[in-house]
This record gives sequence, C-alpha cells and structure tokens, in this order.
Amino acid sequence: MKTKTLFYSVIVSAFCLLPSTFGQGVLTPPGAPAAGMKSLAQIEPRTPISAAPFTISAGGSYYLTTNLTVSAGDAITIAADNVTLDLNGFTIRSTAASATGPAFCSMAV
Amino acid sequence: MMKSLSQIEPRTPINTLPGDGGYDLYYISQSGSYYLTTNIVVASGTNGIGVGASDVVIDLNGFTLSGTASRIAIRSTANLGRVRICNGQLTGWSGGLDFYVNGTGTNLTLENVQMTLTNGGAGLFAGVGCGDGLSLAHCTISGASGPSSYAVLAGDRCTFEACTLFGCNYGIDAGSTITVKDCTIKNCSGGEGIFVSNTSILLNNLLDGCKMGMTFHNACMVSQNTCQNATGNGFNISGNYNRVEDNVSIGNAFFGFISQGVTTNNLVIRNLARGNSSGNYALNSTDAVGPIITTSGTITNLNPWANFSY
Repeated sequence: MKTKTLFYSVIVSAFCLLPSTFGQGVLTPPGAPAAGMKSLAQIEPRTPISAAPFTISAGGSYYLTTNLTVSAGDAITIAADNVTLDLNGFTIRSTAASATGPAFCSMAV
Repeated sequence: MMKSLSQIEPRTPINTLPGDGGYDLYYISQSGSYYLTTNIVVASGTNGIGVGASDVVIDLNGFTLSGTASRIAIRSTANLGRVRICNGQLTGWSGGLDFYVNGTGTNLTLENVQMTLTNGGAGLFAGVGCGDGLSLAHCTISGASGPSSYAVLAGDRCTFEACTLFGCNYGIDAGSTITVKDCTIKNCSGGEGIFVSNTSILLNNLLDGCKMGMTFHNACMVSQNTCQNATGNGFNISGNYNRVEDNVSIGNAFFGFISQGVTTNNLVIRNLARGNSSGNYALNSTDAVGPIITTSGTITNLNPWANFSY
C-alpha cells in the first residue's frame, strides 16, 4: 500500500513540475472577433415606403410601413423591372372627389 | 423579455454563404431557412445557388437573382427533397431550377416566382426541372426557348396552379397524377403546351399559339380548357378512359379534338370546336362521343352530351 501511494505521489509531482508541457498556450487573441450578429439591414433588407406619391425607379423589394393616402393623382409609380411591392396589410387610398389615378401605375423605362 | 435580433430574423442571409468551388456563387449545405437581402447579379460562367441538403427554404424576399446564359439560377448537387423557393425574380439564366441533372429533387415547392430566362442554345434547360412531387403556384416562366428546353419538366404527382408560361419551347411536360389548374400557356412553339400521362386533371387552362395544345394518356379528367391557335392539334387524346368535357378548341392548324392511334372508351362530351383547319373532331368509333351538332340557330337536339362544331 505504501509503495503504491509513493508511486502516485511521484507521478503527480512529475506532472506539476512540467508546466511547459501542459501550459495554457498563447493567450493573445488571434485577431478581432468576427461579426456574429445580424445587422438591421439584414433583418429588414427591403425598402420601406411611408409616404405617397412615391416612384420606384430601381428593381428591388419594397413594402409599406403605413396606410397611404393621396388627394390627387397616382399613389405609387413603378418605373423599373423586377419589382416586388408588399402592401404589408396596409391600404392605399385616394380622397379625391373623383379619383382618376390608379393606386399603382407603371412607366416604360 | 425583449426578443433578440436573431429571434426576430432567425434565417440565414444567402449572401453570407460560401461558394462551391466556382460552380455556384452560394452553396447551401445544411437544412434550414435562407433569404436574400438584396438583388444579386452573378458573373458570367457561374451558377447562382447550389443546394446540397434536403429541407431547405429559399425566400427570395422580393429581390432578383440575375445571371447569364448557359447557367442555372438554383440547382441541386445531390438527390434531395422538400425544397421551397418563393417570392422573387430569376432573370437572365438559361435554367431556373435544375433539380434533375446533378441530383433529383423531389417534393419541391415554388411559389410567387417570376422567371425571365434566356435561350440556352441546344442544351437541355428548363424553367423548372425536377422529379416527383412538384408544386408550382402563381409563377411566371418565359424564355426557355431553346430547341431542347421546357418551361417545366417534372415527374409524377405534381400540381400546377395559376401559373403563366410563355415563349418557351415546351410548356408543361410531366408524368402521371398531375393537376394543372387555372394556368395560361402561350407561344410554346416547340411542343405541347401541356403533356401529361395517366390519371391527371387538366382544368380551366388556356393554351394559345403552342405547337400542340394538350396531350394526355389514360384516365384523365380534362375539362373547361381552351386550346387555340396551335400549329398542330388542339386536344390530343392519346389513350383510353379519359373524360373530355366542356372544352373549347378554336383555330388550330390541324384537328380540334383527335384520338391518337387506337383508343377506347374516351368520353367526349359537351365540347365546342370551331375553325380547326383539318377538322374539328377526329375521334375513334371505339370512344364514347356525344352527338356533334353543326347547325346554328335554336338548339333542338336535347341530348345533354352534345358536342358542337362550327
């Protein structure tokens, strides 16, 4: 029994005396941490439309952030190909006495 | 108890993904939900998005994925299933979704996608090419006009609803147990607007200016369709036990309704054919055909199954 205890003590002591073998390594960070969070632009990358009249002049994805009201003329003019417009549950309304313009119109580009 | 930004948008932006050794600009290797955050223009010689995993959703998020001829917008790199693609535009590619060359895709869903494709020359390109179980709804496909190209080339048990296909070589070419409903197919000048096999339902579709209108094989329900201005036949009945009812076939260069080869027990009733150059009806005596009324004026024939021909 004594022999076995002595053996373990020698082994433990040997490990304690070898810090270079089991050290913590280089503690200096390798560089700045990479961005791990999403940006707000990634969370809502579409283009908001919050007022009318509004002209969409470039292809892309658009959405309403509120109800829109015009008192005359067109509300939203689409002047580009490859456009997605999400009304997002809102309403486009004309208050003109005799509304003549469309809620949406497209222009040749 | 505020939500974190990653809880508000837990999906992965596609433009943060790595590529695929020059084959695909972005490569999806794991199941999950992905989305576009901007329009993307892919340089010549590279495909858009490679998919190497099942159970993937790609939301184009209203944006456009643009590319060049002889390349594919979104393609599979392995046999996989349950991929859903929605809400955006694919432009300039020769192929839209290729889920059949490098791996068969099954049970795909495509919704609210507009494709404006480019003639890929002699190669086999499709707006959508895949295996069984395709669901295509509210999509537009145009420009798959090469001599071996298809708007859609798919396997069995597929559903098409409220889609517009135009300016392609073939329209829909699919297998058995297919439903095509409320679709408009125009100027698919190389082949059939719709070609399906057995036990399919073709309902309320408009086919205009294709090489052939529609061809179907056995035990299909074909109702309330219009085939017009084909350079061939309007309705090709190419098998047995079909029910062909309440359709219109007008101004086709060959026949309005024709039994192709030896056919039996097709029920052909209550249709209208007019101005088809080779003849309005060319049906076999082994089929069951309502009487064909050719006279104008007040209808005196009370047979409820009558067809009309002018």
